[in-house]
Amino acid sequence: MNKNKRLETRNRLSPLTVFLLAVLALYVVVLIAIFAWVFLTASKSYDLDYKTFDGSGDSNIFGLPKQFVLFENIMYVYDGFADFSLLDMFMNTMLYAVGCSMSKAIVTCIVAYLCARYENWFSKIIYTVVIVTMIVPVVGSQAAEFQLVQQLNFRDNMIGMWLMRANFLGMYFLVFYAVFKAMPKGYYEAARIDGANDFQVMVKVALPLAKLTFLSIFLILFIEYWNDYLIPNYYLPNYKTLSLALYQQSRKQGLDMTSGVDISQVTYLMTTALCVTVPIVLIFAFFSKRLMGNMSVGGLKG
Amino acid sequence: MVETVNTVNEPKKKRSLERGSNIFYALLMIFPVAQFILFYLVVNFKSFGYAFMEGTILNESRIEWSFTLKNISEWFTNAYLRTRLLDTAKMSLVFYGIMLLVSIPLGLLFAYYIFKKLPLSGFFRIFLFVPSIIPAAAFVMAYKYILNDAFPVITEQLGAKMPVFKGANWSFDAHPFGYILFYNLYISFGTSVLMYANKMFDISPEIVEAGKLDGAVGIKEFWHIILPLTFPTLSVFLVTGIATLFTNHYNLFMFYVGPEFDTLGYYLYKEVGTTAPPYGSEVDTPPIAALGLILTAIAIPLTFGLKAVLDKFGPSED
Repeated sequence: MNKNKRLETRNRLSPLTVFLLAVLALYVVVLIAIFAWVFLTASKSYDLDYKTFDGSGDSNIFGLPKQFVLFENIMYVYDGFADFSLLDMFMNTMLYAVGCSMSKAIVTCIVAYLCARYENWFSKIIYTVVIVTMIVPVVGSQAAEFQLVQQLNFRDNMIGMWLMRANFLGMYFLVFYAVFKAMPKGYYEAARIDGANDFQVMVKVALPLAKLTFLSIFLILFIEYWNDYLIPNYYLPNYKTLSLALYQQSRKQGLDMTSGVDISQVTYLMTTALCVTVPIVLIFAFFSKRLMGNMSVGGLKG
Repeated sequence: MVETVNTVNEPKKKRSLERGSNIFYALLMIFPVAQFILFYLVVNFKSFGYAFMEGTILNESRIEWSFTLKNISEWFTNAYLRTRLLDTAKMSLVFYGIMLLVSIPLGLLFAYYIFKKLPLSGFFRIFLFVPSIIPAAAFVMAYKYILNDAFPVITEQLGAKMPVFKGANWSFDAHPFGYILFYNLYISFGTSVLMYANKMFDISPEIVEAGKLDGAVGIKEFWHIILPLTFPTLSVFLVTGIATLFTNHYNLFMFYVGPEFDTLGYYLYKEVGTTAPPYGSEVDTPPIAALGLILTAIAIPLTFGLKAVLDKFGPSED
């Protein structure tokens, strides 16, 4: 059986697939090497592993740490390496990522449910609006949006940010819409016969059936907002998120400049990088099947 | 008697239920619709309006606005702005073109590898996705640091053994464009490969088998069977990708490189920053809104034009 499988695999290998195998293997090696290198650097001590300013001392850029100090580095970063403590930045990032993804997912889910369940003229308008805004590329309205946000006092305001994100536009509307449309009407009717009102039908019948889709969309949005640094940079200047703080700190330490400048804080920067990345990697590790398995053309399916 | 009462009450009850449903529907729709009006319609109307307005600051709380076409014309008549616009447009086109020519074909081939369930395909599927979810702040910083501080050590050591590498400078600072491009290509496969592969898995095995009997194996199979049947998905990517020509930042903010690498999307983003207090104000908004309007006027026909071309000349699933 195994021999047959091996033979079949050998038959499927052509120069093209062998070439692809080589490229893909290289791709993975690069990724693992970068990860390993970040981890090792975050575990090093600058005093022991890196050159001092005058160039004396050992330079251990590639080797294993002479002393494994990852925990000490995390504690140092935790206490306020980037002007804000790690805990503050973590809380800001969580507020931003959870709040924005939750508000967006909830509003999209409810509007999609209403459009799928109540087939009236207004639902048709909403559906058309979603399609049109997806197809027509309107670019460059950020400046006007920025002014509006300031006029509404939503700048540097986390709740304002959540409200700004609470829209139903985009492909996730279509995903939820497809899920609710696919639900047999008999479910709703049975609930109504049992005396349930519209709210109860939605909360007790429809939404529980869409919870896995909701989870997938929430996770994808969470990752997107967790990684976002462009919006917080302008809209939340005093709520430092992890990504933004990491960027600002790396610039401050001169990592953006030419090689050979002061890199004395590199171990702490890599520790912060690790702290930013680990939650996302863990989410991916736990939910990879859900995140990847549901991907289909045009977005997700239930 | 009871039956009569029920029959009489039935339409009344139905009307009451309908009214209840309408109220429920309206109550739940109020916030999303208001949000849409404020953050989509008002924003876009404001942006359109700003494009034709010029503001004069009268005092701290008052700005006088007047109609002007200068905001639009300046982008074509002012030598500095025109050069800046052309340079950023050129850079956007270069990025977009290279991504289109390399990322899409390679993504399709990777998806084909996964579709054929060749060795380690499940493993590669996961690893191709990972870079697209890693925070760019961390990834770019590590990538740039490796290139600037670790690569010189490698070339130095290699140079000591092999003359080819002697004096070679592989640092990020020596080749920023190439490395930025490589990074963006590297992280670009996640979603696209998944979608292409999922579309390929939808292809009926009978079609692939029939192709095989006709001699379509390897590259022939990919070209004559798989690619045409994956084309609808590819078409979606190509059409929606037009917008990225005007909006993609290619993580330039994180790379922190000079203005010569600015794309249209990143340039617009940076310009929004110039309107932020304390250094900027609302009167700085009109030229940026005008640029947005110009770009939208190009993006819309380009998107629909490409869609029409692909619909007419793209390979058919039949």
